[in-house]
This record gives sequence, structure tokens and C-alpha cells, in this order.
Amino acid sequence: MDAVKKLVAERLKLRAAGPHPDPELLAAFAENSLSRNDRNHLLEHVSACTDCREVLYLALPDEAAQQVLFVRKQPRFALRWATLTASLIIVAGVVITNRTAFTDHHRSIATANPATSNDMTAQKTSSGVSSTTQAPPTTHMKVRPQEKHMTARPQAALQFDQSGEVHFAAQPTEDAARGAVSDERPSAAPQNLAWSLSPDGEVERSSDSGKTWRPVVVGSQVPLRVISSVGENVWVGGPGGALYHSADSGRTWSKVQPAFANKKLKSDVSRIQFSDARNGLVTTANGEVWSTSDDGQTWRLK
Amino acid sequence: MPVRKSAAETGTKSDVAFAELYAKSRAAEFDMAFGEFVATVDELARKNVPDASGREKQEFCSRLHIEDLVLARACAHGNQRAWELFMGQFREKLYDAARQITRDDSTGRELADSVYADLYGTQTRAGQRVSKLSSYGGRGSLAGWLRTVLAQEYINHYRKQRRLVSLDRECEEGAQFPTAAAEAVTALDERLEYAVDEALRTLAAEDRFVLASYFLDERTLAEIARALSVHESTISRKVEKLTKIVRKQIFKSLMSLGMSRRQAEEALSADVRDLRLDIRASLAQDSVANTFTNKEAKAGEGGR
Repeated sequence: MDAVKKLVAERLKLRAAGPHPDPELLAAFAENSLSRNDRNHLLEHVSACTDCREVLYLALPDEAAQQVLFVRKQPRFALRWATLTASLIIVAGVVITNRTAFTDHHRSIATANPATSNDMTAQKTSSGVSSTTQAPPTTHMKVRPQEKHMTARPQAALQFDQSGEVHFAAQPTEDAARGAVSDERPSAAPQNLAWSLSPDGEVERSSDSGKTWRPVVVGSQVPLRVISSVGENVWVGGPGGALYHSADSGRTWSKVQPAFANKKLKSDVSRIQFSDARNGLVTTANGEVWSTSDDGQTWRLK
Repeated sequence: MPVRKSAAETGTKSDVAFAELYAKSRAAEFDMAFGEFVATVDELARKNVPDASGREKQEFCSRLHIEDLVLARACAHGNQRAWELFMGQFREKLYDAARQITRDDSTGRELADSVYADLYGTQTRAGQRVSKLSSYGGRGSLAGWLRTVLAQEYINHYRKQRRLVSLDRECEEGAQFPTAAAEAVTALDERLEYAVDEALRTLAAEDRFVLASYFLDERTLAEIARALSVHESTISRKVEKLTKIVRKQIFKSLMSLGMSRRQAEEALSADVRDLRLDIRASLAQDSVANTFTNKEAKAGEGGR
């Protein structure tokens, strides 16, 4: 009997998939905050260990509490070149098509009012937003036309719900109605726009429903961990109170420093939720909940 | 405990970084001295990234959930203020998560109480309470760690209960927990088994995870998508693609093992469900009861 017991025990040892990872590694995996190496090591284990997979799935946060994330691996080398080539062709097409229009537009800006191009930036800086980073997500820069020249109808806004589903809003967002139209051609409004965070904490954007991704420069010194988007408004957050906002689908980014009653947001941002362009909540790892009802101009601490 | 000079005294880059982390962590509020803080973070870096350069270690430290880490360590040391803060921030979350895991109010409360006792430390070593919180290392959030600890405890508890329940009663009550059911798998050609094993071996770990979750654990696409933080449609496409790849690879292997093209086609196309079963069987692994014991958890820590 003892011999059988020993044999069974030995066989069971042989079938084990190695030591189980720490709970915090499983938690970090679910929160997408592991380095690529650690993530791969953990996946090696959980792909072979039924128990750890069970724990992983049981410990996933409530669906409603989980962030809308599209985490992507770095695109393959060949894919990058294909993306670059396709981008160049599109850019060349757009430049040729709009050449005349842009030339006329430059003339009108030069003669009309040269100081209006930074109005939006100045408005934000004066009300709590500390700095603005110009971040060209594409390989070219275009001058944003003045509002009075915009004749394109605002396109349907893309919205993400908590389950990660993509929805197109039937009505244009308030910003869109004011004329904050994309730098790209009006027809290229964010029909297929998707946002992602890479495992290294970089923001990535896809304009073809996630087939190709390109990095977006936000200007953050720390890896970003959470992202939320409503229409053209994108919010990203990370450790140490890092919070950035783009009101134009990621072309320009502002560092936002929420403050309320002499207290500033300094903790790790763990969740961002915006129900529309103006109203949103930012939750931190230590349980603070910051709310805004004016597009991040002012904040309240709950 | 190593004694360190203050950042101002030494002026090195890493000490300045430590000083910034110390301020951010609010360790002073819990009477944790700078030296103790540095020793804790140093130890974590040595344990988790032992071969990393100084810069990589610094980066590792900057990614830690430092406030959570300090709070957990202070609680483990019995700091009253830390416990009050912990209770305020996490007690409700602990019970909510337990209810979510068990899907039952009373079982959830029982589970949360049991974990809460471990967190407080009901056992003593060398006259000191041993709190489970001292094993938290700050790589994931404290809330996420608590959920994982609850999930592990739930599985252990369930297994323990399952061993005590009679087979008759188990049959009456039905399966309560969807662990990998040992399905009766028809004995397949050894060459086919080998080919499936080979095909799975060549896949990336993430791909095997997706297949194991989908075929073996019978998780939904949405669940897998949530676990990997990707969109559900990505998983749907991936499962479809992986199934094709595995089939193709098996076919190749069978041909290389001496099967004719027709035999290989017959083996694969005879019954697709057989292939699915075979993949499930290859991915399956018997589970050892009471998996996440303290001993094994320590072995896991030591192995890292």
C-alpha cells in the first residue's frame, strides 16, 4: 500500500507545472502591468496550469470595473514597413488633393488673425492644465484651419462602452458640433478608431479597427497604464498621478493636474471613466475618486 | 538593517530616486524610516530582477505600487494607523470581491473573513504575528492581489470541502466548480497524439493559454479577452487562426511520421470533435489538491 502511495505521489509531482507564481504576479498580469519577459514567463506557466488559470479568471475584476483596453504587442517588423508605406501613400494622396485648398487657407490665416491658433491651449493653461505637448501621430503636420473655414459636417463620434464594445454615436459630440473637426479629411473621421496601451506603457492608435497600430507621443515620463476615450476625447493615466488628455483624437496632449482644496492628484491612476466629453471620474490605487464635469477644467475629490 | 545616508548627503541618482519614492509612498506617516524603506525596496528588486542593471532596477522600483506596498508592510508590522487606512480602503472591496468570486453572499462573507484573519495574522513566529500582507510585493495593485488571494483561498477551500463530501451527495448536488472535467477521451493513434503535442509545443505561450482557456476550460471569448486585456473579436480571430495552424501542423507531422496523405486526411477529417478532444487532452493537466499552500507559495517566491 505504501509503495502504491509513493508511486502515485511521485507521478503527481512529475505532472506538476512547476512552482506557482505569486498572487501579485497574477494580479499584475490581469492589470497588464508586467514587463514583457515576466508576462511571457507567467503565460508559460498558466498555459499549463489549470489551477492558476482558474485563479486568474476568478480574480479578474468585475467587468464593469475593468478598463477599456486594447493592448497590443509590438507590430512585426514587416508590418511596420507595410504600415509606413500605406501611410505615405495616403499622406501623398491627401496632400495632392488638398494642396490648393491649403495654400488658400495659409494666405487667409496670414492676413486675418495670426494669434488664434493657440486659443484652445491658452484657455486650458489658464485653468489648471499645466502644459501642452504637440504630438504628431502621423508622419506629417497640417495647419488646423480656423473654425469659420470649416464646412465639413461633424462625423459620428466613436464611443467605447465598459465591455470594450465599439459604438458609433448617432449624434455628434458637443466638441464636434462646435467644429473641432479632425486634421485628416472629414471623410476620415474616427469611424474605425481604436486606442491601445502597449505592454511598455505607450499609447497606440489604430484607424483601421485594430489591424495596424502606430505609437502616439503623449510626452509622459512614466509608463501609462489606463486609457479611456469618448469621441475625440482621450484620457490616459499612470503612476504618480500621471494624467493626460487629448481633445483631438490624440494629435495634441495636455498634462492635467487635478487639484481640490489644497490637495493634488499624486497617487497612481488606476481607472478612468468618462460618460461623455465633459463628465468623468479618475480613480487612484489608494481609493481616491476625482470627478470633473467640465472636461477636466476643474476637479472635485470625493 | 542597512543604514543609509540621506539622499541629500550622498547625492547619488539612485538615492534621489529613493527619496522621491519615499515621499510618494507616505511611509513617514506609518513611522517607516527611510533606511527601512530602502531596505524593503532593495530586497524586492534583488528578488525580482536579480540580474538587472542599476537603471533597470530603478525602473522596476518606479513601477511598484509603492503606496500599496508601504501600507501593506505597515499593516504587517501592526501599525494602527495603517490598519485603519487599510480597513477604510479595502475592507468593503474584500467582501465585494469575495461575493463576486463565490457568487453567494454567505459563502463570500465566510471566505473574506478567513482571508481577513490571514491578513491580520493569526499565527505567530518568534513571538510576532505573521501577516499574509508581508508577502505582498507591490508589483500589482493591492486590490488585485487581494482578489487573487481570495480566489486561491476559494479554490483551496472548495477542494478541501470536495474531499469531505461523499460521492453520493456530490452526485446529487452536481458539479459546483468548473474545474477541468476528466472527459473520456477515445484512445487515439499514438502518432496523432505525438503530432498534436508537437503542434502545441511550437505555439507561443499566449496562444497555448488561449487554446487551453477555450478548449480545455471552456471559457467564453469575452472572458479570455478580459484576461488578456484585448477585444473579444481579437480572441475570436485568434482561436480561428490557431485552430487552422494546429490542424495544418498536425497534418504535416502525420505525413512526416509515415502516414500517406489520405491516411492523414482521414485521421484529421474523420471527426473534428476527436481533434478538439485531442487538443483538450494534450492541454489537460491533473491538478494537485490544495494547490496554493503556503509552502508552495514560498517555493514560488524562492524560485523567482
